[in-house]
Amino acid sequence: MSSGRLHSPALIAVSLLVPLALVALTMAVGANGTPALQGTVTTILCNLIIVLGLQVFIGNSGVYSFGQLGFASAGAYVAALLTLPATFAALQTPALPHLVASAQLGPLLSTLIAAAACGVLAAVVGLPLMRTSTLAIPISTFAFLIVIYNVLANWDRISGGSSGLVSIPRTTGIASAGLWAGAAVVAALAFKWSARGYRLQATREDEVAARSLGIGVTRERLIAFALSGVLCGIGGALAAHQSGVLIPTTFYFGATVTTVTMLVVGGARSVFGAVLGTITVSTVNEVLRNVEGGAHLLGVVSVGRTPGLAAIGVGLILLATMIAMPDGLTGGREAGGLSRGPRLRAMRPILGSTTNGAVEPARAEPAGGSALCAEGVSVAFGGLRVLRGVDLTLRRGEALGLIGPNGAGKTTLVNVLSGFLTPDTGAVSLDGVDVGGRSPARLARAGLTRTFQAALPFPHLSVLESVAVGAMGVGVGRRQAVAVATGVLDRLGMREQAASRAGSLPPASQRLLGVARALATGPRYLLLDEPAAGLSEIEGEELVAILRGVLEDFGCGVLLIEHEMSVVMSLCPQVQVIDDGVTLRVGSPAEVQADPAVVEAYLGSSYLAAASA
Amino acid sequence: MLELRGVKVAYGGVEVVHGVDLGLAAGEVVGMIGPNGAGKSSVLRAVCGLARPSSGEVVFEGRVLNGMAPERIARLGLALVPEGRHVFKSLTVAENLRMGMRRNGNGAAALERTLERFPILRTRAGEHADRLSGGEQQQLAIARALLGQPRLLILDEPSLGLAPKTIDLIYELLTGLREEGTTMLLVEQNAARTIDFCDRCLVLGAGRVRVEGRREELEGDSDLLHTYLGGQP
Repeated sequence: MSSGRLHSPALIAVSLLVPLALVALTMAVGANGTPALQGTVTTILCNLIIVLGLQVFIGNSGVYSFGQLGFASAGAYVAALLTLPATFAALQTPALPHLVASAQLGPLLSTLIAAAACGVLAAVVGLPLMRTSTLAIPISTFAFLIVIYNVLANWDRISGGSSGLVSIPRTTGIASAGLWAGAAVVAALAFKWSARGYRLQATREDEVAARSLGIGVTRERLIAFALSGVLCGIGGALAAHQSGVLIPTTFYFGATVTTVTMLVVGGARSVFGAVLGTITVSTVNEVLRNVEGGAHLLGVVSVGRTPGLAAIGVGLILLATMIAMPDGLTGGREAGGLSRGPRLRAMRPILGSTTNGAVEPARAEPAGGSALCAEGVSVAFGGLRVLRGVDLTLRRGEALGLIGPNGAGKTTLVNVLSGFLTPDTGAVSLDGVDVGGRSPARLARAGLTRTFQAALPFPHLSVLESVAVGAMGVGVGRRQAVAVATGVLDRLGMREQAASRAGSLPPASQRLLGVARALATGPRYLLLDEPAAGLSEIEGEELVAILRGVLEDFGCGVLLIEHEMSVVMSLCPQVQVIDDGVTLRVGSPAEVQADPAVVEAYLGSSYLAAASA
Repeated sequence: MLELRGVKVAYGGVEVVHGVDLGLAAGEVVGMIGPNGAGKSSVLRAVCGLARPSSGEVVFEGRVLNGMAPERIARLGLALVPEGRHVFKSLTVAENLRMGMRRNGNGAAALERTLERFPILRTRAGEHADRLSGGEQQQLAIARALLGQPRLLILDEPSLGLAPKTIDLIYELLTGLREEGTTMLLVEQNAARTIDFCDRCLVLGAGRVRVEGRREELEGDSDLLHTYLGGQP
């Protein structure tokens, strides 16, 4: 992998050209076929645009929406009403405003207006819906689908009611549908590989970790939801102009199930999957539909009428895919990434490879104060008082060790400092500014980043992508984010693993990746929750060397929660011991280790014996 | 009791364990140590049925475990205390323990014995497991595994994320189990402690067994260990 890029030019080219070639092939098959086949192929291409719309939201966010066909429906009606011949409009939609009824726009303009209208509609609908939880979005979007259907079915004088609209100009052909589909492929890939797309994918991979990197989950989802609405609206508009008739159930339950199936069968995470899934499912569906009416297979076997065969066939494909290939036919990879990933290497010794290149922090240093302070922080869970008036000061350029027994409240304190938890009483200030109640994402953008005890990797992103997302989360552009990520990986001796999937690393390397990801945000304060857990003694020493380099190069303040005493004692000139929710002692490693209360509460007598031996 | 013959493990076509042999007799305590990424956890996954060996055999008391579902393997008497503990966080301590009890076992007596061994669990029986500290959760995870009356106890990094004093406590408890003759397979990062605790240790590196030896052979051979635990094969 060359530096400065997330993907090689070859990978980008293949990922773009293979789905486009599939679209072109589909067009070619249709163009040379019977009129019936031409119609079928045009419908497939319209569906493809809708499935790509689903991919933009579902694939990148990992959250299922069952409401996107509502936007296809809206787009279809907007485009139809704008193009209906005046005489038919007067008959079918008597209450339609004159301006619309007499518009009789051309296909391109009506499609563009439908797209814009659906984008606005999705943004407005998404505003409340995207605030709901990951589990609630599928249900709330489904409710939206039902609302749209009922509006269209009952608003007779505008929509034509349940009998729908006829005599819509049939202007969509294979060429126009194919061109729009090609554009949708490019748009979906461009979005996926943009900084915005990566931020959304990070929320799919791990919501908590994404927030810790400055990524606003609601905002990123909303943007993708609106873009998805645009694509679905285009697909709906083109489809209405292909069939010439439109009823409220055209894009309802059936179409929702079919398009989601296409996406899942192909592999939701990839644009290639959306294309492959649409073509595969459509082909099987068409073949079986021809058999439904009775057919002679290979001229030998005679099949009688078998209504429902196509639906059963598509259902079976979905089942088989879910069982055998849960990530879809493409495994969620783009066409350029289908070959096996690079071989996984054991973690390299880190000391030898940290000499090259200073790392460019993602952000310039702001003026003003220079400490992260907590004062009198108290937290209770139910009746259990976890923290009771803890003070803590972390200065820039310094390392502070935070130790204490399991359950003493260390992680709770980090949760308070990083905005994941609001304390019952007490204040947190960042460089002299009170930051109580700020979200983790806002704090990350203000220069305070943390890692987690559990590594919380982004399993489907590469190591390089994972780290670059850290910089993107705080608003760094894509290109510079990659440069920052490459520098951080070099610094941490992880460059060889840049192309590996984060999920394939052993747990301790994933924890180190969490440190890399946090560093890419250009933090002024870095809170590390047990980064050395699971490392051998020697690997722990290597981690100390890395963190020492981080202190020098980045000048950030490091708060280190760690049970591996050799790591804490050799890195931190100051150590704060908390026990049972209160500070037991703050002092140098020597002072802390000599304190009988600390030995009693935390270190234990065998540690003392080993240390003096 | 447990025998691994040339076990290889691969994930998505990438082989991470390249043929590991291991024998474990009843009553024996064997440790696996090695740098991060050496394949220790993958070997455990293969034993417990969480990963299917791409070649080789895992044999437990004469039965080949390859391809057997993890729950069936557990019913044969292999209990895994997983890395990161994995207690049922929204259930109480008592409910967690009930989950570990065998349907046909002598439940009440086993529970009583376990609570004697882990008195803190009796004290906190009614509390939700996520309220326990890391050390208490680790005790709960071990207790839950013991209630299934396993013939082989497998522990994956029991000291991970624990305070030094708490690690001492966990090892005191494990020493008690060892003295009662519990057969154990242990994966740990802390080499010195593992070598001291186990009858025999395997040092893994890059998916292979690099060194194998009894306690007295490995203890004090700091050069050898430094070579193999330094992270570079």
